[in-house]
Amino acid sequence: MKKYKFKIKRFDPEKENFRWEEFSVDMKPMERVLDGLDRIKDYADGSLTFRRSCGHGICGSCAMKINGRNSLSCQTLIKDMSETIRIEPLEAFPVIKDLVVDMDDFFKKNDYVLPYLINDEPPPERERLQSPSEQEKILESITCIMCGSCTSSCPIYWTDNQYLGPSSILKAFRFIFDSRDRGKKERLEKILQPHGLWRCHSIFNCVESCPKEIDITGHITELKRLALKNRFRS
Amino acid sequence: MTVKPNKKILRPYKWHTGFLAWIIHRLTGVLLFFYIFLHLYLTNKLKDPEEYKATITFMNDPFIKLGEIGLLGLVLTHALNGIRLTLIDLGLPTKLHKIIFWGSVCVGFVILTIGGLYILRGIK
Repeated sequence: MKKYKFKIKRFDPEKENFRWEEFSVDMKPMERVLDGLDRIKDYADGSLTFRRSCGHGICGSCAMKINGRNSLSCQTLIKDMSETIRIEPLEAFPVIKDLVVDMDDFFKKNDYVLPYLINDEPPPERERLQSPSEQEKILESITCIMCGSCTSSCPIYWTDNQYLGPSSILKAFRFIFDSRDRGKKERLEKILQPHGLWRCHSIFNCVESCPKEIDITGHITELKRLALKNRFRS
Repeated sequence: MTVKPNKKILRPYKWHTGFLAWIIHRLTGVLLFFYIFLHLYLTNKLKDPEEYKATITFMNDPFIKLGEIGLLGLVLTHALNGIRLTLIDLGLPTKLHKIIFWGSVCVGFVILTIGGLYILRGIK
């Protein structure tokens, strides 16, 4: 057991001000930052508010800025941290309370790219089949848990709130390159808008912050190449 | 429900190679944009023989030469990073982006040293 100082940026919606608060917590090296937050909420200050659900890096609820970098608190081990752990809400999203941010805009942009299978062809008797190589093409993009770490870390999103953000463009990739989907053209049109695909400047902040280690910039550049090819063909 | 809007341009975020490269690319881009006006102003003086002579004498000043080395540095930084971004957009594996960045920093320094020596040798 070692003492760690949790420095948390808090926001009180009634007083409407940000403040830093410090908590000292005994932690084991193999525990996670989320365990520390739970301990603070249970034993020190019950008013501390944060989102958490599965605690196993699958639901994407507990994304927050830990030591200046967006990550999942349930996936960040204490042994990798310095003695002072700075925790802030995700950047660029409006703050509701403490570490809870308003992600409405994030999900609206996700809906905008039509994140569902579009296929008018009559369904086969069993499922629509895919070859292993076709599956491999979208395998990485499927692992996205929509925690918002990438979009909130993107400097373009900080300055342009209308920008779709890496997460929705990745979602568009997931369906555009899905061999079973037929809505490729519609989706490409959606992301080829002034605040869409071409606003990405390959900064790689999204790749650095993705808890699922998805090469988001790589996927976006592939979409850029596809858009360019289509432009020349038509 | 009170929601604190979060609109800021500059935010403290952990720096890494891609972020650094982007900031440098933006800064050098803006500086080069303003340099174009200076360049047009100087080339405009080439019309008159008297003014031409005065400009050439002025351009031989050691401080101006140092400025030229700085300009070479700016152009190299912006151009090499531009090549890096183009290569990534053309399909080079994104995993290589850090290696390409630091590689181009080394190449840039070598060209800057050789070019700088040539510029300094030109002082009369």
